[in-house]
Amino acid sequence: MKCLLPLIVGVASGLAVLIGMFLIPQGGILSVLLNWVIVVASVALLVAIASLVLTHLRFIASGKKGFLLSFVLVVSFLATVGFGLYLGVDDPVFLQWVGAVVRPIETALLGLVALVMMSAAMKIFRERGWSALTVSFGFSAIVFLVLGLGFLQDLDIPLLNDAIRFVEGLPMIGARGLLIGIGIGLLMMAFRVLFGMEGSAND
Amino acid sequence: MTDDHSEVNLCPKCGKENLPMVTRCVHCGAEMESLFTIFGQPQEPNEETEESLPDIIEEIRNDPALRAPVAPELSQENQSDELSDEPPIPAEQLPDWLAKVRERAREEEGAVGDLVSGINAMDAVRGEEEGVEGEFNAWINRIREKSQQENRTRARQIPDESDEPDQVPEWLQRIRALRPNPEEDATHEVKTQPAFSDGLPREWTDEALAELRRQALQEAGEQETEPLAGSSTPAEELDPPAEMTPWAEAQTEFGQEVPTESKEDFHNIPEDEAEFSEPTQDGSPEQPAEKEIENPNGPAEEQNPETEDAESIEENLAPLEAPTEAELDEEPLTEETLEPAEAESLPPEEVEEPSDSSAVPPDLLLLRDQQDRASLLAALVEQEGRVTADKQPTRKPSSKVGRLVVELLLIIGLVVSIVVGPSALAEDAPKSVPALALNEQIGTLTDGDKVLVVLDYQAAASRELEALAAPVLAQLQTEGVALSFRAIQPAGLFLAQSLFEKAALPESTRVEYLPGSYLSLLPQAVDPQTTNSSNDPSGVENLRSFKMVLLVSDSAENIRGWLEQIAPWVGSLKFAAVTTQMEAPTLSPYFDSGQLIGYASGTADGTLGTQDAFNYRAYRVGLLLMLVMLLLGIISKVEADAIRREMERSE
Repeated sequence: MKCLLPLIVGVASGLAVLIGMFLIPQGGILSVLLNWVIVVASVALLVAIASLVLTHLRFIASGKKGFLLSFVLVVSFLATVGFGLYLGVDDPVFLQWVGAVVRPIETALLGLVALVMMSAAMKIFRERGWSALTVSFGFSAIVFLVLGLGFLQDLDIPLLNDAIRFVEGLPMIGARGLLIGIGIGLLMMAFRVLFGMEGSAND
Repeated sequence: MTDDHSEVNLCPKCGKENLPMVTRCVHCGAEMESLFTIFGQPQEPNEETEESLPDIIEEIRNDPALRAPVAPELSQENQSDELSDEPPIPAEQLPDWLAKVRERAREEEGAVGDLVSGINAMDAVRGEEEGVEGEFNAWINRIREKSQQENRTRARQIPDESDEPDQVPEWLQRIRALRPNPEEDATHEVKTQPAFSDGLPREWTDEALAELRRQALQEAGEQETEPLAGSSTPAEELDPPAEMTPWAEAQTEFGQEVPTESKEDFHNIPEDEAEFSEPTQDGSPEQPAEKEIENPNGPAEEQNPETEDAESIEENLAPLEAPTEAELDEEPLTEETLEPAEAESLPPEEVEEPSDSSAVPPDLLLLRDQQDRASLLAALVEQEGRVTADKQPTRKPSSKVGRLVVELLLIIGLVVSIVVGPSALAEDAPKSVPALALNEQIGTLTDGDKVLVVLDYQAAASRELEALAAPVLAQLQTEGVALSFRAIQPAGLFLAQSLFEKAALPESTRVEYLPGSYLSLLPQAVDPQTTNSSNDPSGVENLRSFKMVLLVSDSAENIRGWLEQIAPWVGSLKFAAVTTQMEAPTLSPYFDSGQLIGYASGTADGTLGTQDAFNYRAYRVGLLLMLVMLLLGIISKVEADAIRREMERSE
């Protein structure tokens, strides 16, 4: 029963969405199901937030290593919730304060990701050696980095511009194949859920 | 005869059992020395060998190394069978104890019958005889096997002994024993018979040696198994070997064959002779030649004193080192290579008869490994002091100067591009085809058209997306298009303010939160009648009232969801996108298929209008930095490979 219930719920939800979209779209079944999905997802988000806060409170209480970071997280969370409840989520001052904190942090994280990728690009040849993967990666990276600099485009040579345009269109080939693969994968996943073959439903 | 009978002795007087080595009966006190008298031989009380015989047997019995295995028991049984077939002993040759036993048996009639007494007494006599003779035979066999094993072991250990530089090598001692006068070498050959006329291999290996000794043992065994009566002929007629020891002589007194060495198994090694003379207890003198070898100050050394010093050793070594292995096989056995005593000990037919030139005495063949070492030593002595080939110069790995120069050039180029390069992209910079299409579609909008702007990006991508979206929004605003903003993520609420500021939109512009993203609009897309439903959480009154949906997103996945889930249901709705350059390739198929009327991405597409938030110089510096890192990785790998190859080449 423990494994059967999620399976029944998954199959029933999938069938209901298909019925609401293709068989009786005017019945409002799809709208009700989507509202349920939104409510369940919101509750799940609240549960995740509560679990996160409780975990960090436990770290602070036990004095675990790095509990200061947990303290900062809990204080920030409580301050945001308090100011949001007091000022309202549409208040421009509140949004400006939140944006002033979140924007530089996320930008710094993205810059850090760029540095990590640069380091990985430098080490990939020493770690993986010379192979088809590393050589093709290095060649394509150099080509598109040079094209991104715009030096060649500034030359304004028609033949060169045509070549650049052709080269810049090459990623579309890979993207199309990627999208086709994603579509097939989603289709197979949907069939597995509908027929009760998905392993995660049994867990 | 069982083992019990061999371990106990019956008293000749009372007939009861006693321990084997007792001299007097524990029951009646009678002397039991007569048990150890030699049957058929006159007893001489002054002979030490007979008196010490019980002690010798006792030592053999107690010595675990000489303990008899299973095989000798079989030989004892064979011998007992042979003894049982012997004719009855004459009465005049009966020992005293037997006469006493018989006499007492006659006196004590009634205790046991005559026949039983006779049988018991006869069994006792035979048991004692077989016990003594069997033990001696087993003892001799064990000594032979032990000496053979020790010889093999020594043959393997000889190379290790030669490692001591201060001592004369054993092979040289052997050669000295064979050649006391090396200056008399170049003489005539000794014509002998082939040493291996039985087809044994000429190459003297361990297997060949074992086969040779096995043949010798078989010959000796055949002679040993001959009847006692005939034992006097072969062993006694042979020339007495030089290594014959007193215990062997005593063995002949028992009427058995003396375990002499065969012709192929003779030894000229002093240590080997000492091994064979170990059983002697009285320190009987050995052959003079052996004494000369063992004693460096003996007569042999006095006759040839120059061989004692190192120069004479080298002189003797030189002719021995010269012949190679092939030459050794072909080297004839000369008379001078043998010591006189050894030559005399050889049978006359081996000395006189012509021999095969390829036949080599076993002792020389035994020294093959040692002679190889000697030849190697000679080669080393010859090469001593000569100029050897120059050592190959090892090339040092290339210095890192070249790598440093390349790195400096790249850094200089990076700095120059930051300082000298343009700070903003030119207005007339070429734009991508999707960006031109987007610009064209925006131009088709007229005053009053409604455009739904969906904000779906994180704060990290806000700089890039705001730089692209702000000119588009400003253009739409100037054309009088009604804009309706929806934020998919909570961060979009405060990120929209920065966007409105850059696009010069009024601060009063509202941004609604759209929970569930495009899924919340799916019911409207599927069923147009649910447009005005109060349960619609999107806040969008009618999706079909919009002319265009502009997706400002940093996720191609979300844009794909809009295009695949919403667009098919609403045919009149046009979709455009503003995304990052990283996600642009994923959207290119949708633009190619017409699902997207256009999209803007990258730096060049940001010049649709005036922009001041984008620093083209910083963008180029970032690209150059990534390019430098990538090239450094390639260069370092190439350099590491070159260094590794050079090291392998130098090794």
